[in-house]
Amino acid sequence: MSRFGLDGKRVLITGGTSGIGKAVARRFAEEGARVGIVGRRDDGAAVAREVGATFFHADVASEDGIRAMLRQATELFGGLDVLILNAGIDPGLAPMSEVGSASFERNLDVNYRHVWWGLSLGPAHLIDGASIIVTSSTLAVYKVPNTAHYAAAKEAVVSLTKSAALELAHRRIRANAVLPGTTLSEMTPPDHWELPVMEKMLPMGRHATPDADLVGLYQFLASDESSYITGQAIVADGGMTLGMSYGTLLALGAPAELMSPRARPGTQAHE
Amino acid sequence: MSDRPLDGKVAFVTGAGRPRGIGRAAAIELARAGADVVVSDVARPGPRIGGVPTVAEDDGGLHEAVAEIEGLGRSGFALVLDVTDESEVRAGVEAAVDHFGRIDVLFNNAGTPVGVKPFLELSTDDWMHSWGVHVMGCVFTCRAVIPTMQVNGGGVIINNSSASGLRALPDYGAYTATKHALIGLTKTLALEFGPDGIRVIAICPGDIATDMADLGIALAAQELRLDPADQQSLAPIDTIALRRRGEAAEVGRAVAWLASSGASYISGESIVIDGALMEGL
Repeated sequence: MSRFGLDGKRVLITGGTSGIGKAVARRFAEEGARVGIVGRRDDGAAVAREVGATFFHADVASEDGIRAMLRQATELFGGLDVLILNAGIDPGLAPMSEVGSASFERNLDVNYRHVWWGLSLGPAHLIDGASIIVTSSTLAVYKVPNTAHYAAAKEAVVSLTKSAALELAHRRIRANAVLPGTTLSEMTPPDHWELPVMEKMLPMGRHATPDADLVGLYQFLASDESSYITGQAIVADGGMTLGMSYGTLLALGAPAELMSPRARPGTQAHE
Repeated sequence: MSDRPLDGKVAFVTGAGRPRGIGRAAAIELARAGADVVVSDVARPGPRIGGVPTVAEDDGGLHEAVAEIEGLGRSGFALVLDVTDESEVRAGVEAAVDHFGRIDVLFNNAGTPVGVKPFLELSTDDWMHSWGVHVMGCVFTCRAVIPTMQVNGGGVIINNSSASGLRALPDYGAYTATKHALIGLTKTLALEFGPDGIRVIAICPGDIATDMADLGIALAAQELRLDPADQQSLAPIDTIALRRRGEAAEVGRAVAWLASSGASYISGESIVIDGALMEGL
C-alpha cells in the first residue's frame, strides 16, 4: 500500500458535490478509494461522474436523509472505512438580533444536526479502525461579528467530534475536525468582499484553495499515517488566527519601516 | 499526494541519537518520504538522573541512523552538536549546508527530562538547562537556519513541544513551563516568517514509548515513592482513549506529513498526537 494509502478504502462524503468536499472526493478517487458523495443537487450524479465517485441522493439536513445515505452506501460498498461530514451552508452575515428563526433552524439542521446524526448513526456502518473527519471552521475558535449562529454550530461540532473520539476509541475509530480559514470555493467566490479584507490578515499572504491546501489534510487524517491522532481540531488557516499579521498592522496604520523587510508593501510573498 | 512528497528536500533533525527516540523515528520517516537527512545529537555524556542517562552519550546512534537512511536510498549526514551552544549550532548548520547545499525542513526535537522534579527541589541550574534545551536550542537553530530558508524561498520548521506544552502535570514544573514557551515561540515565528513562505508548527506528543518518557515516569514514581511495579499507574493506559502508548514512528509520520506540501496551509498551530489523552476521560 502506498504511503498515504487510500487503496480500496470506502469513503462517504457529505457535501461532496462542491468546494472542499468535491476536491477531497476527486483526490481520494484518484488515490484508489471508492468514494460516495451525498447531496441534493440535481447535477450531483454528473459531479460524481466527473470526479470518479458514486452519487447518493439524500438530504443531509434530516435524520431520514442521513439514514438513507448510510443505508445506500452500505448496500453498495458493504461498509465504510472513512466518513467525512463536510456538508455546510453559509447562512449569511447578520447580527444576532436580525437572524430570523428560519435562518437559525436551517443553520442548525445543516451545520449542526447533520453532524450529530452522522456521528450518532454513522459508526454502526463503519469498520473498526475507521476514520471520521468533520469539517468545522476557524470561526469555531476565532469569532467575527455577524456570524454568531454559524460560528456556534461550527464550535459545537468540534465538541461532538471530541466526544465521538472518546466514545469510539475502543473500536480504534478516530475522529478529528478540520478548521479551514477562508478558502476559495463556491461558498467564497473570487469576487467575495471577504477576500481582499482577509488577505491582509493572513501571515502567509494568500488564501487557501481546496486542492492545494486542504485535501492533503483530509488525506492524512483518512490514512493510517495519522494513526495516533484522534479527538483533534486541526486549524488550516495560513496562521490567520494566531494574532496580528504584518498586513493587519500595516492596514491599521503601523509604520512600514517597523515591519520585517519582506513584509513591507510591494514585497511579493513567496508561494 | 505522492509517496515521496519530500523528494529533493533536505531535513535537519536535532536530538536524533537515541534508538527509541522521536528524533530517530522522524529522521527515518523523513527519509522514507524522500528527504536527505542531517541527524544531529549532543552525543556526549550529559546529565544523569539516578544513574540513567538523559541523552545519547556517544555518536553510535547517529551512525546507525545514517546507515538506516542510506538503506532507504537517501543520504544521511551525522553531526555532533549541543543545541544549547550557539557556536556549535552555527558550525553544524554551516557544515550541513556545505554538505547538502540547503535545508528545507528543520525538526527541533532535542529535549531533556531535567526539569521534571517537585517545584521546591528544582534548582536554578535545572531551570536554565530545561530553558536552554527546549527554548534557546530552538532559538539558536532557527537563527542559523531561517536565513538559508529565506534565500531558498521557504521552508518548514517543526518544534517538538509536548502535551505538557498545553497542559500541566505535578512535578513537571520546568518541563511544562519551557514546553509552553516553545509553543509561544512557534506562533511568533509563524507570524514573522509567513511572508517568507516559512511554515512553523509545534507538535504535542502525548505518552510515546521513548527512553525519555520512561525516565520521566520513573522519576515521578520515585518522587511519589511508588514501587517500580506500580509505575504504570502514573501513565495509565486507561486514560488514553486509544488504550495504548504511541510509537515514536507515529510521531515521525506526522512530522514527515507536516513537512510536506500536504500541510501547505498549516502554520503556527500545535498538532496534538496523543491518542486523545487530553480530550477528556
